[in-house]
Amino acid sequence: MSHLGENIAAFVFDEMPTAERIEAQRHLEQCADCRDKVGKFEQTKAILRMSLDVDPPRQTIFEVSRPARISWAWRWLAPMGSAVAASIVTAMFMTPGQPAAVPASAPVVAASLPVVEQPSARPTADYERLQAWAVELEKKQSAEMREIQRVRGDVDLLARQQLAAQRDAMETKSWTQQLAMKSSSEE
Amino acid sequence: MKPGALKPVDDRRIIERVLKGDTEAFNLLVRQWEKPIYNFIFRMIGNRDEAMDLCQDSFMKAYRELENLKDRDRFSAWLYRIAHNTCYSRLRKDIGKTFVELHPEARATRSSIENQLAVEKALQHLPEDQREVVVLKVFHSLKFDEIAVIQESPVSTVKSRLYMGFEKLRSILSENGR
Repeated sequence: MSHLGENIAAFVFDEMPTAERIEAQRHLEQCADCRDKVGKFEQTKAILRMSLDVDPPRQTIFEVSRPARISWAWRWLAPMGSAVAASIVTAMFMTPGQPAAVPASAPVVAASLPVVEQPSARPTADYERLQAWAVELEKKQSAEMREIQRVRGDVDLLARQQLAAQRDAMETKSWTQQLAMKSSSEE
Repeated sequence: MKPGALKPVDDRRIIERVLKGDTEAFNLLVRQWEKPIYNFIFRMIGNRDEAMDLCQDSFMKAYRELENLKDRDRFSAWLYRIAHNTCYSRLRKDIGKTFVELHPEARATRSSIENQLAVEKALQHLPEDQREVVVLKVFHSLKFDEIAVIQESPVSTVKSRLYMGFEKLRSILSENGR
């Protein structure tokens, strides 16, 4: 066999096929030059291995952003509560002589839809489940919105009746005053 | 088990969990491979803080590309390949810079810490391709054919790089150890 040359690396790191290794060992018994090179190679390997692995300065933990989780209670109470509050405020601040108009784009409508954020990572089973959940909720909320509109209609009617009653009362009061003035002048 | 050794069953299971939507399971892969990948990058770059950033970058790339990993039993080789690309992108920015010489005290008989520093610095004197083979072979116990895949080079070239790298390291370390 010729000198080991660059095959020293395979010999020292024990990656030589068995037959080739046996032949290399036979050669080393006879060749002082190759023995010396193998010895130096082993020595360098030993010095390098004295350099130990170090711990990373900090541990890496990846956080996967998830869709916003909103509790069931909050999903239902928030839109319903805001709808009721808006109706009460409308009824309270309604001035006589003006119809109780409710704008079509009342804030309650915009606030009632749950917002499901897109996850930044690839869609997960959780994400898909939440999406289906959001669709279902939207359907339920459409029914809720119809109910809210109906309640608002009732509130409008009540306000109009209240306004009419106020007008009646004012007219009655005016008639009463006129009658009182009339009777005093007759006397 | 040797450092950096392949653990195909464990990695494969975790990868399957991640791909099924259990994204948190990716942290198990990070925990398992962070130290070897960090040390590989550190020995390639020679700077601890930068190695940490590049290590995180490598895992981010691995996460994004995980579904493209065809052979899930070869995760570690694939991860080393990603770290290799990350290191080389970084090293290309350093072309033309000069390396800092060893401290004079390193010339004296060295303690284990001094030896560690001497090895770290000596590695930085090697050409990148030789340094990478030395690091992957000596510290990560990868096979020549595994390194050949990472470097996209023939096995014979890898063996040659290791031989030349060792020759140069021996020269540097013996010169500075005198």
